[in-house]
Amino acid sequence: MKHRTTNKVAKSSAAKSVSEILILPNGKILAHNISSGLAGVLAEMNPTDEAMNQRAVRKHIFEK
Amino acid sequence: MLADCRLCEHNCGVNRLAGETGLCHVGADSHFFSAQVEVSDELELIPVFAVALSGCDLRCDFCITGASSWNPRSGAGFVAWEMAARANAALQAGARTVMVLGGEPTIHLPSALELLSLLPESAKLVWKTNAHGTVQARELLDGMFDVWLADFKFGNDACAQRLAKVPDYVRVVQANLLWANAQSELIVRHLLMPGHAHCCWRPVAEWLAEQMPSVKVNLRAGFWPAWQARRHAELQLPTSAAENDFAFGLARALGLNLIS
Repeated sequence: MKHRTTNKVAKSSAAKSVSEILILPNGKILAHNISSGLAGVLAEMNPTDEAMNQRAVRKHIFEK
Repeated sequence: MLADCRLCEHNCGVNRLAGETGLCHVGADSHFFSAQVEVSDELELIPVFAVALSGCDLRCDFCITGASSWNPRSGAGFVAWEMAARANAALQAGARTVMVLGGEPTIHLPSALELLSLLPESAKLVWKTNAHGTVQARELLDGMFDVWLADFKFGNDACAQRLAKVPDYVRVVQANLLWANAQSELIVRHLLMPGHAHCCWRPVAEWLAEQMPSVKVNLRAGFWPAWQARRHAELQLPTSAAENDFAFGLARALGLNLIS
């Protein structure tokens, strides 16, 4: 019984792990809950965004 | 603590252990709606393993996670040892910090402290809060977190009442910030809102410059018209370039210690 409960929690929480982006008509992109993967994508889209580049640099830690 | 809940400044005094709930609707148990490694917080904190607890004592119509933050039963049931295991795994994989947030974590203080007790001493812990807690909450939090990451959302009580349905906001937040700045590392966040650069950001910035001139300030210009922002005419769109320029110019003029 306890084992089943544990699995249910893990599955549910994993399903709720999301990032969101909002692209404005002027091309500006707003992002929320940026994951390491999304940071990499955003840095590729705008290489001049220094802060995003720094966030993307850290993505490799979680891709090993 | 929960039998006469006075963790936030609404001071409901309800018995959450007996099933009563106050404005936040949080009962005796905690839920979480997100627990993941993120890189969108301050550069000095990331990568952060962020645990978002469900339910909040404020009612900000522009809340970016409103549906989850306002619903104390959103997500999954919080089990401290399970979350600690996930946090530890994230730390071992390279996460720099563990952040407890919400919703608002203050109203989940028992769960948050239980989680802390299961994390290694070496873990750098971040308390992400709306700074609307009571003296009682602060006493329980004393020395528990390495960093307080606190919002100062509104520069006057009228905007706070209209947009977040919270009275006496400025006094409460200022008391929390002064305490946090004295007892731990503090980072103050302000989300710049369209139409509120002068009424909200200016007084916030001026108070910070006067009361804690060296505190780290993250002025966030990425307002996103989310949740129920449409209820307010000025919150329909992101901030304008002119508002952003004004806000950052004011911060520089006041000598604020801006971080990103």
